[in-house]
Amino acid sequence: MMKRFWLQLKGMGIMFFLPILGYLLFIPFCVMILNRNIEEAEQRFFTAQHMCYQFIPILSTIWMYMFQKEYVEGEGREILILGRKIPLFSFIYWILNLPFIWASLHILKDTEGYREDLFYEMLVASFMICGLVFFLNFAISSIALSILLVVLYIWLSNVDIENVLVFRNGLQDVQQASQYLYVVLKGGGLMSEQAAVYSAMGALFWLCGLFKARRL
Amino acid sequence: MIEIKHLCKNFGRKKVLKNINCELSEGIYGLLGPNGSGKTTLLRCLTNLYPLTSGEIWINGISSKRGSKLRIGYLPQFFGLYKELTVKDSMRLFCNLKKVKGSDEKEIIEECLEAVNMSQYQDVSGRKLSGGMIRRVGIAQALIHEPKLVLFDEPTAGLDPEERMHFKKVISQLGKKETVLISTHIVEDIEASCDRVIVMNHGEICCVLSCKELVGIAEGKVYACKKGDEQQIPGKYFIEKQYEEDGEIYYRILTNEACEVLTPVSPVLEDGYMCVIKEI
Repeated sequence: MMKRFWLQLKGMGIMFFLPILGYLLFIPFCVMILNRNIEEAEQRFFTAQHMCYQFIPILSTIWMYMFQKEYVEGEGREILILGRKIPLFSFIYWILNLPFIWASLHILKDTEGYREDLFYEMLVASFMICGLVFFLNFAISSIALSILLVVLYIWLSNVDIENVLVFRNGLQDVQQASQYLYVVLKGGGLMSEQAAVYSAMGALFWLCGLFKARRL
Repeated sequence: MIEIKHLCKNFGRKKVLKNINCELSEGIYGLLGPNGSGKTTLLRCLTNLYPLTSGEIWINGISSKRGSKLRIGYLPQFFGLYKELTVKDSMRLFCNLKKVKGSDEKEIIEECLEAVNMSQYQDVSGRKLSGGMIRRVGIAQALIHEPKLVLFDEPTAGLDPEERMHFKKVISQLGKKETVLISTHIVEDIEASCDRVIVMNHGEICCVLSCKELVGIAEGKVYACKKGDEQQIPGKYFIEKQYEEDGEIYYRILTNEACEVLTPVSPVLEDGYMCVIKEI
């Protein structure tokens, strides 16, 4: 299995380094630029947190997209499917992100402050988004459409949703609805209600993806 | 020995394969049929990529439901490689997918690449290979685990004439020990390499015949006639192709109705195939 994993990584070429550059250079650099005139510690942390919510979930999906692309759209995918283990490798690609997310947050720690919860929030958000990607890739069989939907979702969850759309499907008010639409946990912490909702949603997406991938 | 019993495959309400029954022993079989006749679906059912709606496939006495344990080599209609991997690394990946022993890997890769004349490109990345070269690697990967049944879907598409000749040599060697099934539109390939031909149409097997028997079906049914004269043919006819000779346009016609305007022509495999498809 290690050999197959190694060959898959090799098959990604230099694109393999894209998420690493994002975690270790792009996010810290952007935060540094945005915070250059801000003195207040709380405000500086808020900027860092916002950038993490914007970019870490999407960066965490890149390896999964590159891996699953060959299975969803690649010519000769019939041969790759013989080997199966798609869910296992997809999960490994999510796990592979975690040390880099941790490193990214620790780079920010020195300059922008740090809250331990933020890593767990990112863990839950990336778990949920990667599960969503896994499910969408095999459900709609289009990587481009899947990327579009996920980017749209992350964008919607990072703007003030109440101003963008009204969501009243079974929920009493817009405030409550928007809470469930947000992918971001907005500092709720690992034990919060949102974290539980997104962990459960993530697990559900992973299970649905598993089901779809097995039916290939 | 491959036994296909009452095989049906539906996609939703669409019946793609309808009650296929067939027995294939060692040798090279050609699978001919028009677009949409179910050739690729049949191959995918044989590889266990598609679950069967009903029926059974037995390969050397083992049910295809135990697909992963069977030694089936398959070259799909569209085949690609990881662009960043070298040919050798791609072959190592295929070895891994098909559970080839690590100790045998190097030797088998060399043998298979040698068989398709790709040894000198072992260290070239997929990005730098032409379509024909990728096709040859595709053929090599189908042979990598010493399969008992080899399925080729349009194997010679994109190969130059020299490589097509080379491919025919490879499969003629393979056909001595194993069952090889080649789905193609190129009738000359079938004629040159296959022992028997399976003709499919509308999701059914129309016939399983030797090349000679298939040509025999068209005996006395192939004619040439000048353009315009075909209107004098009394019964059903089918214009197979048009060609020019001495400045005049002629049709190659399949019909059961001989008449004065028609000149008999010696049939070839394509005529036999068209007679079956057009029910002439």
